[in-house]
Amino acid sequence: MEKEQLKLTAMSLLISLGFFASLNLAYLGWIKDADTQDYEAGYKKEVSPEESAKEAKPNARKSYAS
Amino acid sequence: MPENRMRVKNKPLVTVTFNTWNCEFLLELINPQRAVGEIEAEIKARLFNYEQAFSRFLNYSELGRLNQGQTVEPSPLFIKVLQQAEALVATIKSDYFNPHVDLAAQGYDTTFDDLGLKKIKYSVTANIKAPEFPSGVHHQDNGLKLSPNVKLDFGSFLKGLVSAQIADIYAPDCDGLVVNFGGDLSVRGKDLEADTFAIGIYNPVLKKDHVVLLKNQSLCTSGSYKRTWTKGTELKHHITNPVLGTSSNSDYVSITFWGLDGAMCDALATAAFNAKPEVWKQWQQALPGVHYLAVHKSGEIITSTTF
Repeated sequence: MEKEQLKLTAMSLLISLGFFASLNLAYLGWIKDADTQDYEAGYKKEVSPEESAKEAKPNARKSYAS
Repeated sequence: MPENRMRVKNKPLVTVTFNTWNCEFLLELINPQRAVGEIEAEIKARLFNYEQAFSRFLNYSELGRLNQGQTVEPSPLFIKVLQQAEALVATIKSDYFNPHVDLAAQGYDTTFDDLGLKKIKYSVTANIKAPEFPSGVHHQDNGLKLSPNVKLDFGSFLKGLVSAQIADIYAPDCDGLVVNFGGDLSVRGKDLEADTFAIGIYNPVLKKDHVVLLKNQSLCTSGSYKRTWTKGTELKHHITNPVLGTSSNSDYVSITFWGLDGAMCDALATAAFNAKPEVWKQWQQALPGVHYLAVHKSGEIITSTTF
């Protein structure tokens, strides 16, 4: 009987821990709501200028007839 | 969750790309200080408004209705662009640059996506000289109407005008930007690690770029190597000589002008196909800060600047 009670207590502790952990992660910004994701679609995260240059479209600085 | 938003930073260089007006629109923003998604939405709305007013391929656009012979009450935007066209013609002269040229009569009567798919039927066989611009535009019953058989087409300067306008609007929202509207560019501010932007002008014969440095300028290219089609056995392209009423017959396959005025540079790049290089030189000397580079069909270039 004591073993069963221990199991139950451990499980409820784990569940509570998970709940509070996810709250904390959301607060820290590691889990994002839909609103934040939309926002970030416009605001990309910071990368180095070298990485940005690689991602730049090759045609962006090219003039041609169209 | 405002705390999250505070932590999000922009890339130093953000690129926005989409297709519109049957060409590619590219925007590069250096250290933007506004939501890029918001800027993109605003630009798309602006381009949509221009298309509704000036598209040759939309029967219900203001220009489309005028070209069908209807009387149209013009929007303030239409009046403004019409006046800009008059100013451009006054500087460049109607024999070289004329918004009355009739591309549809030459077989270019639908978008290029469609043009490639259909067999063109020609309703016009004779080449017709375009009337002096804007003599074919009449004010009638609080509206505008065109003379019979006269058409309007602002395609030869609109992309240059709009690219410069967009660059001016968003320059305060970033450290620098490049607006590339189907090869017609405007730059403002500074590049990531330089005060100027290095722009490549494509040489379609040698398949290489000639690089020029721009600062707060626009650069526009016209070329007879794009948007070509055949009329019978005759190869046509989208640059029309207003005097001959048919495709321009130039030894140059690509002509680029750059300077402070985007609409002017775009118009000059088109007009130069109808003028000798001596005339380009006169334009360049009369307009402060204007330069050109032209690619001969042999691949050789002539330019008003040095590399």
